[in-house]
Amino acid sequence: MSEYAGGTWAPVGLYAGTLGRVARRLARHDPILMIAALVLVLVVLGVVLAPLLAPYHPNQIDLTATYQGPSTMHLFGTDALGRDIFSRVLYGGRAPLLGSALIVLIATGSGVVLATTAVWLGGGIDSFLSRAFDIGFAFPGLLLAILAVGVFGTGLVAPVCALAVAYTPYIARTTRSVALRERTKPYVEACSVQGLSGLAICLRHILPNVFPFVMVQATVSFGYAMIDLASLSFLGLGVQPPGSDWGLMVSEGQPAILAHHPEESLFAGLAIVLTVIAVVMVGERRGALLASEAR
Amino acid sequence: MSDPLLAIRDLSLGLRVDGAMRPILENVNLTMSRGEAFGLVGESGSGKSMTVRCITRLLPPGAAVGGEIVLNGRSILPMSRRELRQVRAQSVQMIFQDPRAHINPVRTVGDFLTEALRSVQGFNAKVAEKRVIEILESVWISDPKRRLKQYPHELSGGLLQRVMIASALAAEPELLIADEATTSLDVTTQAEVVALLDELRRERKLGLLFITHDLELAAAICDRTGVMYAGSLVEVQRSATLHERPLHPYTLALLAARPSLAQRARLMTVAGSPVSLAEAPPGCPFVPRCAYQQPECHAARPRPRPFGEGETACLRVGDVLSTSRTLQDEVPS
Repeated sequence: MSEYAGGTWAPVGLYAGTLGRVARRLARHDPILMIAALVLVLVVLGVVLAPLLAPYHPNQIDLTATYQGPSTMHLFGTDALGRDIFSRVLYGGRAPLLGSALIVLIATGSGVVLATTAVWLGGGIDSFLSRAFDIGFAFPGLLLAILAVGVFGTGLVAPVCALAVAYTPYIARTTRSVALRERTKPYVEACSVQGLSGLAICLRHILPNVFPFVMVQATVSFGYAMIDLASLSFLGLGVQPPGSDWGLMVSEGQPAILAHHPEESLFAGLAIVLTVIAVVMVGERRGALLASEAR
Repeated sequence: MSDPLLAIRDLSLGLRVDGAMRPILENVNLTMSRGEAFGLVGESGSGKSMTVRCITRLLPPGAAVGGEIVLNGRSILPMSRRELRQVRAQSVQMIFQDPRAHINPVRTVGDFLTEALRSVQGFNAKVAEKRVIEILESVWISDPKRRLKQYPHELSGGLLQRVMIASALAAEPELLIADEATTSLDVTTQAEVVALLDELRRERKLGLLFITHDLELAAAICDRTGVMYAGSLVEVQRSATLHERPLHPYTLALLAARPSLAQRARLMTVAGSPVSLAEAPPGCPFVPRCAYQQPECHAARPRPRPFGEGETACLRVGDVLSTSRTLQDEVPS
C-alpha cells in the first residue's frame, strides 16, 4: 500500500481523528452532547475496570450485613444476601454492554451488507429485500428474543442472536435510504466508466460515504438493545442468578422495595437509565450534526 | 475510413418514463476514424449526452437501445457485463461536466487516480503511483506528488477537471468522450482545458468525441462536427465548412444566433422552442421552427443522407445553401 492509500478509510479516520476538535467545539456549542459522552465514558470505564474498582467480589455474601443503606463501607448499600451493591452494579454492566455491543455489531454488519446489496442490484432484489426489511421491522424484537430463549434456553447467547436479527432491518432501512442517495451520485457513474466492479464501488466508494450515518443509527440502536436486554433479564430470561446484571438486579431488588430498601433496584435501574439516555443522546446529537453538515 | 474507431449505425434509444416508453434517440449514424476529433453540438435535451451514454452503456435501467455500436471492431450492445467492464477500462473513457460531483469527495486524488490502475489493470501501488505522477505532469499539473495527497475539495475546478482527464488517460483509451467537459469552467480555464485536450489528442492519437453546446468551441478543436436536434443528427460536416456553408436550417439558425462583436445588433434567437423526439411532429422535427418548410417536409421523417463531403437530413438543402451564400456576402470576414 502506498502512503496515501490509507485514504480508503479516510472517513473512518475523520470520524475518530476530528473527535478531539469536535469535542472542543461541542463543549461550546453542544454541552449536552459533551455531558452525555462524558457519562458514557465513565460508565464504560467503570464496567471495564470493575475488577480494579470494585471494593468487594460481586458474589461475596455477608449475611450479617443484609439490607444496609449507603455508607462508606458499602457505597450503594447491600442487598438481601449482604452483597455489596456498588460492586454488583459495576460487574452487572458487563453483560448488557457486551451484549448490546454484539447485537449492534452483528446487526450493523448484516444490515449494511443487505442494504448495499439491495441498493446496488436494484430492481426485484431491492423490492424483495425492502419488503423483507419492512416485515422484520414490524416484528417486535423482544418477542423474537423471548421465542429464542424458549427454544435455545436462557443466558446471553440466545437473546443476543435474536435481537441482532431483530435490529438488522432497523439498520438496513436507514442504510438503504442513505446508500440509495449515494448510488445516484455522479461519482459512482464515473467509477463504473473506469471499469471498476460493482463490489469495488460499493466497498470503496459508497460505504465510506454511508458510514457516518450508519454509525449514528448503530449508536441509537445500542441504547435500544440495552433496554431490550435489560427487559429480558428482568423477566428472568437473560443472565441467571447468582450472576450480576442490571436488569436482573432490578428484578431481584423488588421485594426489598416494600421493606424500604430500594437500593438494589434503584441503583441498577439508574445505571440502565443513565447509560441508555447517554448513548441515545450521543447518537441523536451526532445525527443532528451530520444532518446540518449535509445541508 | 477503413476500420473506423467508432461506428454507430441506426442507433435508437427509448427510456421508460412513468411506465411508458419515451423515444429519446432515432436514426443516429456516426462514424469516427482513429485519432479524429468529432464535435457533437446541440441544445439541451437534443440527445448528445444520451448518444455517448449509449457508447459506454451508461444508461438508466429499463432503457431500450436499438441499432449497432461498434467500437474498435467490437459490438458494444450485445456485450456481457464482464466484457463491458473490460471495454470501459481500456478502450473508452469519459470526462464529465462537473468534476466535483464525479470524484468521490471523501477520497484523496491519488486514491481516485490509482484505483482503476490497481484494481482493474492489476498494477501494484508503487507502479500505479509512478504512472499517475507521469500522467499528472502530462496534463500540466504542477507538484503532482502533493496533489496525490490532497482531497478534491482542496483543488480548483480547472485543476480537478485536469485530474479527471488524467484519470481517463491513465487507462490509455482509444476513444475519449468529453461530455460538456468545459462547460462548468470559467473562460480562461476552459481555454486551457480545451488546449490540453487538443494536445493530448494529437500526441496520443486519441479519438475525441467532444460534446458541447458551443458551436465555435467545437469548430476550434474538432475535425468534424455533428449537429443534433430532437434525438437525431441533422447535419454532419467538416467543422470549417459547417460554419461557412451549413446544410441544415437548424445549423443556419444557430449560427445566426451567435453574438457578433462587429455588429452590436440585437441577438437573433432561433424562433420557437426545441422539441424532444417524443414531442416531434411526424415529419421533420424542425418543421415548426423552419423557414424553409414545404409540404414534403411534413410527410415523413427525413433520414440524413450524404451531401457533398457531409451529411444532412434537410430536404430543402438547395434553399438553405443559397441563403447561407447570401449570408456570407452580407457578413464580410
